[in-house]
Amino acid sequence: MPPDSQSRPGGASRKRLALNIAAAAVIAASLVSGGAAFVRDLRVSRRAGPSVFTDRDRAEMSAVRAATPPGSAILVAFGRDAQWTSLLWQRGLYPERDVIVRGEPISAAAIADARRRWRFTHAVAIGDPPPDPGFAAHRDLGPIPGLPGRVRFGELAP
Amino acid sequence: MRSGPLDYVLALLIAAGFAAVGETVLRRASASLAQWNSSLVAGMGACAALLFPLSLVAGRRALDLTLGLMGLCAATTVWRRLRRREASAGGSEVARAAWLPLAIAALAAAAFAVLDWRYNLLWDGFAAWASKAQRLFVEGGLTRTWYPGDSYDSRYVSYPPLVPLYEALVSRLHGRFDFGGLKPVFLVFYVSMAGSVYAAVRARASARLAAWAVALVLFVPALSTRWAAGAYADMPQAAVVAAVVAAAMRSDAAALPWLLGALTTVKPEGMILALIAAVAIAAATRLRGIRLGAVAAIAAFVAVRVAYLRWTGVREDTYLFRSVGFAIERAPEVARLCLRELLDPSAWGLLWPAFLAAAVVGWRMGDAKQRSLAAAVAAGILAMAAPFLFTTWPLELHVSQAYFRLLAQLAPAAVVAAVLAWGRAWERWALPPPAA
Repeated sequence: MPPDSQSRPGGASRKRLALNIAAAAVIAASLVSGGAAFVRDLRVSRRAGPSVFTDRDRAEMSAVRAATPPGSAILVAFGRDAQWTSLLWQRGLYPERDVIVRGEPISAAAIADARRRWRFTHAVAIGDPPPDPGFAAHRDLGPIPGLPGRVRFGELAP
Repeated sequence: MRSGPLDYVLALLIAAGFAAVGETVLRRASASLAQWNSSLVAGMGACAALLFPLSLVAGRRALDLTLGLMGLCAATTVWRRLRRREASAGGSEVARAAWLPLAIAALAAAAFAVLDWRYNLLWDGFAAWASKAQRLFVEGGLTRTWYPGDSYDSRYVSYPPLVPLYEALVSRLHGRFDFGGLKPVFLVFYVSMAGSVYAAVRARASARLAAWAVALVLFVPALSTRWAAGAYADMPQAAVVAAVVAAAMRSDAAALPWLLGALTTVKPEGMILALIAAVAIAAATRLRGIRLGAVAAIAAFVAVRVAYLRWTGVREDTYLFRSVGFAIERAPEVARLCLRELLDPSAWGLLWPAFLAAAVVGWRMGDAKQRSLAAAVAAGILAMAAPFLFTTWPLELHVSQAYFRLLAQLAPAAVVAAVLAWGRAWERWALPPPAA
């Protein structure tokens, strides 16, 4: 029967030393990876604003609220890289207004189809440049916070 | 605006309500923090599962009825405690035995608390989970639809409701829904996860080892930094996994079925985790002492989840089964990409290699529970990789964006397995030589 570690105190102590070294390596690696992540994220978080909605987002949404009646539907058409902003608009105006979101490519037929169903008369266009969902007239509400591009708002052509 | 003190107080109040529901379904008063933590997670799962039938029956009043149920259970719990006047259990052994790992864990927890408070909601935290909470808050119950319009992200409607329910309940107590006031609920999940890891290891090893396990878990970046602080549901899912492991290690047969069920209420992949955990527990116990009531409880959770999925009728388009041949052809690439994630030292340190080594040691030296735990985590690693065989996304992008978050759900169980195996080997090699 081969001798095992229990019958060799020297072997057992070597194994326990190996166990300690392995544990120390795992703990050290964990502290380094976790610590680095904490430091990096704490730095990033110092730049985070107080809300997922910036003051600029709120101001632009307020302008749309002021120009449309509660309970109405609004089209939000977004272009390249503006998907996140379109979600902000949808959630930010909910539940007072139903926001119908459509991303590029936006066809006139798709807009007409959505319009028949949701009966919206106004649209917000977000992007760099903002897509044109068929505005009769529009005004510039300002930049997309943190991104290149503009936010436009206006009435759709009949 | 960022979460204020009132948001934290309300999140704690709702947690107390969940725990009261847990104590009611488990039909016991918690005699220790570990038991209270089990009750908390069991109550969360019970309320989340109940939300769907309540929504069918009571429609827009489902959320308020859930609050009412929590209040009723809390009142019953307080009344029971006043009658019994139980002495609280002391817990000072922890501080004496393990100040260093506890200090490290406390440091991590403090850093997470700051990140959780300061970070805004990140993509899924906002677009999926908090948005589902907003819908729940406005509608008063679960609905079949997402936001008005044929929204491209309407698949979120079929996601399980635990995290949105918690967020919506806090908002309901607050009387308004504010995306900025939801973060305190993640601190509750985080502390619960830490408590469960401690309880799991402490059931079978020293307080010192248990404290080290907590420190290791809280230093896993995916559980403590960006995505966890950005309100994703992976860390809450990890908290429920940790609660299951703790109950299994503590042989808490009363809580296990409810905790297994709770796995199905957090994220879609919770069904897979519940199946793996149930098989592992069945293997560890060899089906001894498994009661019909326990099986029925788990079956009820699964039935609710399946019924909810069918009710919403959301078509799965992220994964598409093309053919067995296609999946086999993809397997080496999936394995390579997943292995790369597992061995990324900046994400995990040496956690997964350590788990692998510990699984071998645990398999040779451990008892049935340790073997089952190691096997379950290994099965989880493979099961979480399997869906990539069928993804419709660009493969490399999908693996890099999703696999580490899926692994994070298993990380508490992996740490417990690794620490217990280490402790077992240490004990084995510490034995004095047998007498001649």
